[in-house]
Amino acid sequence: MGPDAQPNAKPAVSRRRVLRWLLGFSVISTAAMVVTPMVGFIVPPKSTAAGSGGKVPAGKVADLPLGKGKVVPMGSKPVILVSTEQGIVAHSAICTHLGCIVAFDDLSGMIVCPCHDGRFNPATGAVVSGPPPAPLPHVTVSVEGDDIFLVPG
Amino acid sequence: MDGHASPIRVLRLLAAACLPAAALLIALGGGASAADPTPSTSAATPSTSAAPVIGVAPSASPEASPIPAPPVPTPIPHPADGGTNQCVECHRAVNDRQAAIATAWEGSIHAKGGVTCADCHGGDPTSDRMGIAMDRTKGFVGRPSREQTIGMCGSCHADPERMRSYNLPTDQYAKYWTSVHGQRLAAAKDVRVAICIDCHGSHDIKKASDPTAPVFPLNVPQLCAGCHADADRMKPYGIPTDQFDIYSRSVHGVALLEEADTRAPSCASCHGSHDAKPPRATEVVEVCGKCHTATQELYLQSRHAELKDAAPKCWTCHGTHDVAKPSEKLFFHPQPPDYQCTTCHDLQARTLRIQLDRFANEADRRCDTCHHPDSDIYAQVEAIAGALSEAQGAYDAAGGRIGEAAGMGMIVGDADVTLSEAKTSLIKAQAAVHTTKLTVIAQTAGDAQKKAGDAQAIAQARLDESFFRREAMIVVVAVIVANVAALWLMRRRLDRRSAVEAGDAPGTPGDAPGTPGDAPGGE
Ligand code: FES
Repeated sequence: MGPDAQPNAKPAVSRRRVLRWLLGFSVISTAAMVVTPMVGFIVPPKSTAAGSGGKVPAGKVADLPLGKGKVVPMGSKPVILVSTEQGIVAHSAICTHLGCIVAFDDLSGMIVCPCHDGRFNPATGAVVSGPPPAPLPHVTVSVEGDDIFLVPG
Repeated sequence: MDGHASPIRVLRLLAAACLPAAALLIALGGGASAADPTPSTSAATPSTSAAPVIGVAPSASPEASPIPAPPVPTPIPHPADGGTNQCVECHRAVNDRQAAIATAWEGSIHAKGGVTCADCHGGDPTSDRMGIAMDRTKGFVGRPSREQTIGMCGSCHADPERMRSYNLPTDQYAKYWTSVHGQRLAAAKDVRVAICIDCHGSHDIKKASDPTAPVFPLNVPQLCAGCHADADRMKPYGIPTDQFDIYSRSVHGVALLEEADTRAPSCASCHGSHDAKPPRATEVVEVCGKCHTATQELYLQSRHAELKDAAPKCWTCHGTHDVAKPSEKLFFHPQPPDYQCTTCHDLQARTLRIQLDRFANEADRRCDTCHHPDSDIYAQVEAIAGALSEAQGAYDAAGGRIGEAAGMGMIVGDADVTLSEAKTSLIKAQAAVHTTKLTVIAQTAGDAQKKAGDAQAIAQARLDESFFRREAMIVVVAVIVANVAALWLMRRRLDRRSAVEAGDAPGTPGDAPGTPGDAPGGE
C-alpha cells in the first residue's frame, strides 16, 4: 500500500464499523422481541382475572321481572342477579358455607343454597337461616337502558 | 279366733308391711328418674364408676313420669322503698365484701329494672335500723336457701304480667323442674345441683345478650364445664367429666370457642338450658335438625328413618360431643370390625336394636359396624362410597387441570364456573348420603362427575391451545435464530473477503473503490 493509499483506507474501516453496529443492534432488538413474549408466556400473571376489568354484560332488564332472580357468570365467578323494589342488585352466587352455587327460590322469594338449605336475603345478601357463616358479597350492577352490566370489584 | 289371725287382720298386716316398701321403691324410682337418663346417677346410690368415655350416647331408656314442679311462690312482701334503698347504704359500710355486693348489684340488670335487695331478701328497705330492716318476724328472709332461691326467682320470672314489659319468657321455672337438675333436687333434695344463680349470678345478674354474661352463648360451654368438668363434683353422679375437652375439639366447639360463631351450638343448644337434660335417642334427629334442616329432611327419606326407634340416628355416625368434619372414612373400617349380632339386634326379642355403647367409640361409627360384608346392603354402601369417590376424583382432577391451564396464563373463567357447578352437585351428593338411597346419590354424584369432566375438558382445550402456541413459537424462534445465524455467517464471510482483499496488493482490480465486491450493499 503506497502513501497515497492512506486516505482510501480510513473510510473503509468506518463503513465496516457502522455496519457492525447496525448488525449488532438488529440482533439485540430481535432477541429482545423474541425473549419478551417468551418470558410473558413462561411467567404468566398470577391471576388471569386480574386486569380483565371493564363491565360484564349480564342480560336484559326485560328478562328479569320484579321479584325474580337468576344466576349469571361474571368471568370465573357465578353471580346472582335479583330484581327488587329498589332496583336490580347482585351478589356473589357462591354460598359462604361450603361453596355451592345458590339459586333464587321463586316460592319463598329468597336466595337458597341447594346443599344445606342456607337462605339469604335477596336484597342484601344477608344470611336469613342455615349454616352459611357470612352474607353473600355484594357485586356492583350498572343498568344502561335495557342492558344490565356487572362491574367486577 | 285366738291364735289364728282373721283374714282381715292378715290383710292389714300385709298392707302395713307393704306400705314402707312401696314408699321406698317410689323414692328410689324418683331418685333415678328417667329425666336423668345417664346411668347410675341416683343421688341415693351414687355410682363410683365414673370412667369417662368418648362421646356419650343419648339414652334410649323410657322416661318415668317426672316429679311435678312445686307451685310458684308469691313474691316476698316488703314495704315499698320509695326509691331509697337503705340496705345498700348500710351494707356498703359494713366491710369490703358487702361493699362489693352493693356495687355488683348497682351494675346489675335488676338494679336498672328496680329489683332491689328486699325483693329477694325481704325486710324493710326504708329503715336504717337493723332491728327493723332485718326483722325476721316482719318477713326478712336473709340469705334464701338454694331451694328457696328457685321459687324466689320464679315468683317474678314466671309471672307473665311482670315480665311483659321485658319481653322475657316465663316458662323457665316450669322448665327447670323438668330438668335433670330440677328433678334431682325434687327427688333427692340434692342441693348440689345447678340452680338459677349458679348460671346467672346473683347480685351481678346481666342480660343474657350481654357478652360478659356467663350465659352469653360464647360463654356457655365454660359455664357448664365449671361443674361438669369438675371430677370431684361429678363423682357422686358417675358421669364423665371430659365433655368440655371433647366438645372444644369438635367442629361445633371450634366454631363457637375459636371462631366466636354464635350460631354454633353450645351445651344448651342440644341439652336445653333451664330444662337441661341429655336428649333422648328419639329426640336426637329433632335436636340436630334444629340447625341441620336440609340434612334432617334427607334423613327422614331414608331407610334408617323408617326403622324408627331401632334406627341409627345422627349421633350413631357423627357422635355427640365429639362431632367431627364428616369424611369418606365413615363408610368402612380400615380392617373388618369385630361383628357382634348384639350390636344391632336384640337376640331375645328378635328385633333390630342399636347397641348405644358400641357407637360411643369413634372408630366404630362406620356403616360396616352394622352392615356385614356378606350383606346386600354392604354392597350398596360400597356402591355409594364408590360413586362419591369417583365424583370427588373427577372434581379434584378437573381442579388440577384448571390450575395448570391458569398457571400457563390461559383464561379459564368458564371452566371455573363449570367446576363450581360440579362442586354444588358433589356437595349435594354427599348430603344425599343421609337418604341411604343409592339411585339418588349415584345420580347426583354422576352429575358432579359429568360437570367436573366438562370443566376438565374446557381446561384441557386451553392447555392444548397453550401448547400449540408454544410449539408455533418454537418454530418462529427457530426461523429467527436461523436468520440471525445466516446473517452472522454472511458477515463473517464478507469480513474474511475484506481481509483477503485488504491483504492483496493495492491496485488489484478487486480492491479499487467502487468495485462490485466492496459495495456497501454486499456487506
Ligand atoms: S354450601 Fe350452602 S348451605 Fe352449605
